[in-house]
Amino acid sequence: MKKLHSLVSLLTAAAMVTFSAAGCSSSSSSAASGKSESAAASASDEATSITFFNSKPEIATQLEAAVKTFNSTNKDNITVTVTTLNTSSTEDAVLTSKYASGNPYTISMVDTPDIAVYADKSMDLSDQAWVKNINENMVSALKVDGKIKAFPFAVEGDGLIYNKTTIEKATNETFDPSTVKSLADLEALYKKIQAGGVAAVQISHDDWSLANHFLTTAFDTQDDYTSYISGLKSGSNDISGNETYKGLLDVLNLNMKYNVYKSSPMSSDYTTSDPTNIATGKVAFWFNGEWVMSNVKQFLTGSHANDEFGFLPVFADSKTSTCISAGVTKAIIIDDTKTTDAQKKAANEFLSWFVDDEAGQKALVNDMGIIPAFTNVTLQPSDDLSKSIVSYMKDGNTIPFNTISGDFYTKIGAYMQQYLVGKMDASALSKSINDYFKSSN
Amino acid sequence: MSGGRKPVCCLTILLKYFKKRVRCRPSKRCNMKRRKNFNLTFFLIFALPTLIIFTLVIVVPFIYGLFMSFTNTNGMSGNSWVGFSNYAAVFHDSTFWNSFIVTIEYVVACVVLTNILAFIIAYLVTSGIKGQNFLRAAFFTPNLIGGIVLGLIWNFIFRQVLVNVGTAYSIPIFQETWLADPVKALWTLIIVTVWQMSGYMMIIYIAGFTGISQDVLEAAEIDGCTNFQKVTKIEMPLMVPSFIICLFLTLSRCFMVYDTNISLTKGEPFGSTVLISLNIYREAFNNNNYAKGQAEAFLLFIIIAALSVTQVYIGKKMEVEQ
Repeated sequence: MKKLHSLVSLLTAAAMVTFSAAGCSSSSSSAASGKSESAAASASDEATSITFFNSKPEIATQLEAAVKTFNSTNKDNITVTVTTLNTSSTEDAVLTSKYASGNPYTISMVDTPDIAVYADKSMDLSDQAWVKNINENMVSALKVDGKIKAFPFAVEGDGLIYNKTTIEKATNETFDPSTVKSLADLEALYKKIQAGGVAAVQISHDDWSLANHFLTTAFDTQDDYTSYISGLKSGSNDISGNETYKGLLDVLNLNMKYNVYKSSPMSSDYTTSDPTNIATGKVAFWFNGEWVMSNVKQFLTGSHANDEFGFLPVFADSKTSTCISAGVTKAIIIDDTKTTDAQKKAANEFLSWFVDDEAGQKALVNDMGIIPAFTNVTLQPSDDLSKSIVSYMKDGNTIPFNTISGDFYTKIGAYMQQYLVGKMDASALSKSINDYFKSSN
Repeated sequence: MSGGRKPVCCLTILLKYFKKRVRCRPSKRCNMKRRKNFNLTFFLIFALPTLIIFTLVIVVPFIYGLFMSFTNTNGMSGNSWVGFSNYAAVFHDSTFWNSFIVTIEYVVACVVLTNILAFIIAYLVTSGIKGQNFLRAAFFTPNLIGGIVLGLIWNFIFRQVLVNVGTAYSIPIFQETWLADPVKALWTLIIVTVWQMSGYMMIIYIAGFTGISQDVLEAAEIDGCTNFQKVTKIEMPLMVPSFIICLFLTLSRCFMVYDTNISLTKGEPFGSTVLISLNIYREAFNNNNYAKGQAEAFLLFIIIAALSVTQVYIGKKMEVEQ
């Protein structure tokens, strides 16, 4: 009996240890990558297998389908395995831990500002065939020390989204976007919409929207972006003298006046109320990017199923009255530290598939709804906002955007939120922004 | 009290073990390790696997992280020794101190409210009322909800449900979402944490209550104790071990909260509810200041360790034997 007891207690202990090892710990596990780790495969030319890190969760299903197609149709026996970013982690966290463990993905999708961070670990792609087809306004973001270090995967743009159907319903006349040429025209339009019983505009209070998208336009319009930023850091530039910045504050003030969330600006919700408002005719304008379409689409049902959308520029200064901000937001880097030559060749072939092969183009533009950065891809994305960006791109009316990495969006975003609710006035905001740059290295 | 005598076995045994150690501590001769039946093989079979995993997963990264905090690494590159400059940078960082102060406010409120609530609920639920087993399960259930889901659910409640109820029934305090105001947003965090943790602490207090010998209570009743005196003069002193455990658990958990923080408030409004773990995460990953974030994390560890050890030490001094 004693032996049975000790046997049972031993088994229980073993089971507990196994379960405690396999179970989840409550401490934050930031590295979210899961299963498929097909690491550096055999060096044989027979089958090459590469791993692809996708940091755009919204296209995960479509990307996996595209990869499946590529795996079955490519002639060089290449197998690509995709791992998608888990929404409770960040791309930085995952890639940092992968590089630290010496086990990086063959190709990784990164945010454009991170191209420089991983530049010394990424392959130089300046001599690839697809380089010549990149839209000229999109190339600068990919270069580090004059070398192209990344494949431009997705172009995104932001501006003043408008719902044409809502505007026409509210003003009882057809809306021609080309009639709005200045901030004064915009204000007049807002008044008409308001008179029609519809809130003219909504402002998303999210710090990344206010800081990274709205405010940075003031830097992107400068002739020499890098020297302007270094001027801010050294204190020789003052943001309150920036013409675009002053215009942006005018636009923000106008939007605050007609904001549907005026009574409580911090209660806007990017995932629920904002897309609902613009989709169901409660609001006519929204400053954001074409990426919201996937959220907005869910609410475009019933009588709103055929609403038309488009982008208007923000009218902060002369440049921003004709151009919208658009640039490469997601780029793909090829690891240069642990990949074999066969894998590098395979990776480049996979990437060119999106540019040159019809099936690849279709997967990129039609299935994933991505705006390509390549001029030779003639397929048009299906949703209105992407189409609008493509037309601005074709006319060359885009301002490339540069993102400032680090704590820019959390700190400056917090200041802009305080301005939004009236806790800070314009001079305090300018001073805070100036101080932020002076204290950052 | 038959209905209330369902001891939570492990915790009662744990408490009795605690008491045993206290009794043995003054005497040098009472060395627990030299008991007659101590068998090294069995000890290793049971303890070694977990010990190995503990060392690999907690001790090794801890030491490596400590080492990293003295370098200028950004997670991938840069391994030069910079001594204490990261720690100096942390001491001068106002966002760190702001988040630290907010965390202290949060911790104080949570610890006090959780323990009071858990104590009261445990007292009621061991007093022999009808359906108390069901009530125990009911009060414990919030603890089963994970941090992120908890934050998302309550975010929805504060942002949509309460606002709709407030506007429909004209209750001014709910008409604007609590998450938009810095002070109220902190209170939403406190409310959610208290709601979640009271159930767990209640279990520990129940174990404490059921461990109180009935003879003492009956003797007190015979001597003419009122209910209130029974609670304050007899039950509370005998419950000090439970208080120690609960205070320790709530203190360390509240200091380290992250997932509820990020899913409930994301640090908004204007970064006023960024608690210290979120600050560390942002410093290390968003700002690519890995080494500085590591330094902050180590400082947090020292603070929590110091507080917890002090608290347990003071508590042990207050223990009373039956």
